[in-house]
Formats: sequence, C-alpha cells, structure tokens
Amino acid sequence: MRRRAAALASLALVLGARQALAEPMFLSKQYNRCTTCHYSPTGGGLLTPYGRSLSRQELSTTGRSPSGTAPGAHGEEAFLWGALGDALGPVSLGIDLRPSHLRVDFAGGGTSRDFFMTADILAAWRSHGFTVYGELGRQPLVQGSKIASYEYWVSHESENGFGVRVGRFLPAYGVRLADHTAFTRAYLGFNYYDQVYALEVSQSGKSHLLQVSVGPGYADSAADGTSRQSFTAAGRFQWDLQARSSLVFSGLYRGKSDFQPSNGAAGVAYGIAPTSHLSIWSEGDVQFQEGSPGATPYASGPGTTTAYTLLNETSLEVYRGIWLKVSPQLRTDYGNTSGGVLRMAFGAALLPRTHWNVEISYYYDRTRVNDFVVKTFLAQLHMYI
Amino acid sequence: MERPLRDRRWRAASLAASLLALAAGSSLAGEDAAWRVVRGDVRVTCPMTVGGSFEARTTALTGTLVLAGASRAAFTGDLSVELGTLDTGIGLRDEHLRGEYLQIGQGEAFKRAVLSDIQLGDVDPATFQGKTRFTGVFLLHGTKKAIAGQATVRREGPRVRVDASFPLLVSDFGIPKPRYLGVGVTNEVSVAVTLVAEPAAGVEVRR
Repeated sequence: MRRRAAALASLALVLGARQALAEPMFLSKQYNRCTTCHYSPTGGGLLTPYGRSLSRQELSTTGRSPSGTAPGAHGEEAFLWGALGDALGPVSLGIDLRPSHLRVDFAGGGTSRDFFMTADILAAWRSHGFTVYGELGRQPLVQGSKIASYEYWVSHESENGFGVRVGRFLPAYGVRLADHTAFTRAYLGFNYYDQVYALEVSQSGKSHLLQVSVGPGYADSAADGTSRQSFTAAGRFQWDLQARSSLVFSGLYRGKSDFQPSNGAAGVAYGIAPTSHLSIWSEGDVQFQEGSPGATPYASGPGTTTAYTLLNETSLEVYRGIWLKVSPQLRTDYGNTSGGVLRMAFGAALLPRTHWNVEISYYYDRTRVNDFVVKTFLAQLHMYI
Repeated sequence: MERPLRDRRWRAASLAASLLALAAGSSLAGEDAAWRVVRGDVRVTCPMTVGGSFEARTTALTGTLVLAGASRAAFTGDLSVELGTLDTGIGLRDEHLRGEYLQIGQGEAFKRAVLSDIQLGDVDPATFQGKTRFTGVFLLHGTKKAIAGQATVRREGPRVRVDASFPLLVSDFGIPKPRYLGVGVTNEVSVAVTLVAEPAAGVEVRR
C-alpha cells in the first residue's frame, strides 16, 4: 500500500507541476543568462522576440531561413506566425500547449494518463526598462483541473544592470532545469504552481548576476491565509567564468509554518560547455530543516537535520534540433545518507520546426532502502505559438 | 729583418679577412630580427546588454613582426586576422557579426583586422620575458585607431609565446551599434590573442 502511495506521489509530482521551458543546455550556444530569451529573470515562460527568433533560426531542425534573409520580429517564429504584424507594439503574447502522455509503472501496478501538462496564455509588455508580465492557464490536478494564474509580476531594470521585481514568481535558486521533476527542483518546492509572492532585487554585470528575493512565501497560501504561509528568502549568485562556463551559488530559507518546520538549502552548481553541441551541468544542494531525524516534516523540534541532493545533466546536440539528455540524480533522506532515491533520467528533445517540439523522458527511480523501483515515461508535444 | 714576401701576403690576407668578418659581424648585429606567427588564437569577448557575454573566436591569425631597433621593443610588420572566420557558435550571430556589423563585404579594409606599429613597454627586446604593456595601431572596419593593452611574453626554446589582450570601443571604428530584437552588445569589447611565433627563416635573429 505504501508502495502504491509512493508511485501515486510520483504521478502527482508530474501532474501537479509544470514544465519551465528554460534550457540551461543552451550554455553550449554561449547563452548563460535566462533573460536573453525569456522575459523572466529566473527563466521559463514567455519568450522574448529574440528568444523566438533563436528558436527558429538556431534551434529548430528545418526552420532556419536562407542565409542573409534572417527575419525581423514578425517572421514564422512570431505570435500566430506573425499574422498580427506590428499591431501588438511593445506587447508580446504566447500560447503554450503541452498535450502529454504519462505512464508510471511499479511492482504490482501502474497507471497512465493523457492530459494537458500546460495550456497557458502568456503576455508581457516591455518599455523603457519596465516589464509587466502575466500568465493564465489550465492547471492539471490529480483530480480534475482549474483555471488560474501562477505567475504575474512587474519589474524594472536600469541600464546599469540594477533590477527590481515584485509579484508572484519562482525565486532564483540554482540552475532552473527544464525538467521540473529534477531532484534539485522538486525537493525544494520549485516545481509546483504555488510559486512565491516576493520582492526581488538583482544586479547584473557582464560576468555576474546577483538575485535576492524576500516575501511571505507560497503564493496561494499567502493569498488565502492557509497554513503553508511562511517567510521565504532566496539568493543566487552566478559567476560567468567564461562564455561557456558558469558557477552558481544559491541559498534558500523558509520560516516555520503549520505545514513544515523552518527549513532551507544551500547549493553550488557548475555548468560547462566544452563544445557548441555539449553542455554539462552539475548541482549539489544541502537541505536542512529544524527538528531531529525521523521526525515528521510537519513537526519541529530541537536540532537540525540535513538531506543532500546531487544532480548532473549532460545534454548533447546530435544533430541540429535533436538533443539527447542523461541525468543521474541522488536524493538522500533527512538524517540518513543511506536512504533516499536514486534516479537515472534519459530524455530526447526534438525541435523539428518553429513552434513544435517533441519531448520524451524516461525516469528510473529506485528507493535505496528497499529497492522499490518506479519507472515513469512521459511524452509531450509542445506547441508554443 | 725583413719578413718574407709570402708571410707579408699572408698577414695582409688575414687582415682583410678579419675586416671582412668584422664588417659582416656589424651587418648581422644591425640586422632586424623577424618573428613569424605559426599558431594563433583570437577571442573577442562581447558582453551583452542583457548580461552575460559571448565569444567570437578564430585561429586565422597570420603575420610577421620585425624588430625595428636594438634599443627599444618596437616592431614593424603586422598581425592580421581574417574576420570572415570569426565563429560565435551559432550561425545567425555569425551572419550578423560579419555582415551587418563588421561589413566584411565592403572591401579589403573590412575583411581583416590588422594590428601594426606594435611597441612593447620599456623592456629589452633581446631577453625580455614576463608582463608588459604594449601599444599599437588597430585597423578594423576600415578605420585605424591606436590601442593599448597588456602582453605576457614567454620564450619556449627558439619560439616565443605571447598572450595579449586589449579593449576596444565599437563606436571608435564606426561599427553600427550591435542590436537585434532587443538584445545588443555593449560598446566595449575585449580582444585576447594567444600566438606562438618562431624566427622567420633566412633572417638572423639577434638574441
């Protein structure tokens, strides 16, 4: 019964989350900042016109226009294939759809489901350093779905690189891998729709990026006053050693709530791209929470207990627009370095044409204390219009 | 006692040979030393307006430098880079760099970047190893400008290895402001050059 519960938890992990779309693998193309292609300083979500252009000209297998005829902002890659021309002005729109097939297998059972991982409308207005950003979409739940917005914020960035953002967003921490179920995201609560309300300040230079945010915690809880609400602070410092290598230091603190004791994390990540077709990211995090080992996560107590997460993601572009990924991951239990879960994740991302991607993922998760294995297969057709 | 005629002739021949040798020696001492680049790597780091940076890279560095005098480390000759070989890792960026900004199709003066009139700091060119400042004249986008930077010189047997870097302002060379769909390159970029040079064949190199 407990095993079935664990497997269903895996299912919920995939369903109750979203794909971020941010792609740290593009470090290999010498893009070491999310903001080159995304409006959000923490990556993911709506693409900028530059990001859309890149998705066609450099990432898709067949989308590239003939040499010397690179389109402007209203080519095939634009919203609705550029049908609106200049009518939107400084406003960008996007429709993000991900019909998906999920199958989870484990000893003695399994389940599968077809659903929309993502069905969102995204919009941003940007002018004179100000950005207003919002999203509205259908969120899949284990039972049914709901229409809601998980991200909306206002920001300003000055020409000297100083930025301020306020609203609801994913706080900056570590490397925002596209796979939201990656252990470095999932175990920090960075995979769910329930992002945080926060004020973020940032400072960006040619070889560094500092982001610090503070706020009242999980957004849904802050809005309705439920028990998960707690003070949350996060910080991230990215040091770009070279155009194809970056070092990232991160920290996170969440205050005590009725849902969990005070907890946090500190981590280091390093990314390097030896060639323009290969990127390697590694991240190690130490998570800590108040209380003794073995205590329920809902109860606080004396002392502090720790858990560890290690992850590597290696991405190889075997042909233009065809990426293969492999990602070994380890997560220990709190207070028990022999416990936890080992994962081998394999993925393929096919980008045949602008607006159309196919992503296939396979996860082999083994619980270390009892060798219980959960195999998860996820196929997604990603339409970004 | 008068010396035998043969002995006098021998001494005269010896003296002539000595003078010739001295003259030849003087000529060698005044000969300009020449170094030819046998291997090079040029990296142009371009910071982006949204933060971060990318590198444009090439190994198409050629040139010969000739030491212009014994007392100061000034060189004639030049170092030249084929700009059409600059590679940023993605095609669209390469196209924009070469076509819209460096405009290499506009003629010979646009096809290459050339560094000439190189002069090192106050160092002995015959024995110098280590760090020094240098100055030069840089031709880019059909425009010549004086530049200044840092160089590290190391002698590796008969060869010399140089790691040099210098900043330059895009606007100094009349290059259109690099910007595409809201993402641009800052006005100041930096150039890093690593080269290995060896004595040019047929020319005596002063040590």
